[in-house]
Amino acid sequence: MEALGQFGVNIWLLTAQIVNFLIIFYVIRRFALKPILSVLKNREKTIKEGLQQAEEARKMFEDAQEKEKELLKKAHTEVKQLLEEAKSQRKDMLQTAEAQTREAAEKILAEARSQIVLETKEAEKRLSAHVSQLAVMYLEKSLTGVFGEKEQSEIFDKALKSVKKKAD
Amino acid sequence: MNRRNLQQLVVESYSDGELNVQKVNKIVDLLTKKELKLYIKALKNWERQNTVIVDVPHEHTHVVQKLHALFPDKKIAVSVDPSLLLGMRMRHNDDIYEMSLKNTLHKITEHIEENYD
Repeated sequence: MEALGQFGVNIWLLTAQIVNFLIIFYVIRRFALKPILSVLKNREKTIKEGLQQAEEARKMFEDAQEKEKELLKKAHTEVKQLLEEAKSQRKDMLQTAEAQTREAAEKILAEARSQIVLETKEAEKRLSAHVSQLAVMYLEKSLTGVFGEKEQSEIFDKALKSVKKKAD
Repeated sequence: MNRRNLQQLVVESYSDGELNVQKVNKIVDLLTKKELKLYIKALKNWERQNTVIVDVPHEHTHVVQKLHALFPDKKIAVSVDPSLLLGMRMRHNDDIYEMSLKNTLHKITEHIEENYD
């Protein structure tokens, strides 16, 4: 004790300070530390939950991004496929339409050719008949008065013989 | 009046192959309207059966003689049709004999028209 006193330490003061400290420590522990710890714990819990939610949100966002990428990729593929199919169908339709048009045109041409042939033949026939009629008319006109009584008598006798044969 | 009587009237109407107008007038006076129609029809028929009608392009001698030789009991009626050109056309009853240049030319035309290909 004396030694401590030599070093300038007042034992009573020290004791009182220790007691004071203990009392303050007890009071603080009893009334302030627990609520503060509780608040800190709550805060920690809230932060942890926030962090967890943020992590979940980040994961969800990443998943959503992934899904979006997949959907976009799928949609792109489908669109590409649809375009290919549309191109193919367009090509087929064009080919079919072209074939049908060609066939129809050929049919019309064949019919027209046939019609032309028929009409040409008909015209030739009419022309031939007309020419022969004209020839006969010309002959009739030019032969009028050409034959005399002698020729007429000969032909008449022949005609009578023919009639007689028929009558017999 | 039956068919035989009608035929007898028609025969009596002719003298020397020619229709006797006086006889015809007498007959007509005796007939009713219906009988008159039948008589006229019978006369026409008789004329048609006993007449040979001949068309020739121009008149020439001996036509009637030659035809009489062929149809001794028939009347011969000759008419001129220059369009025949050569030959003759003869009608007897329902028969028509045609042997003319015009007919030959028309037959050629018909043949050309029918057989053109």
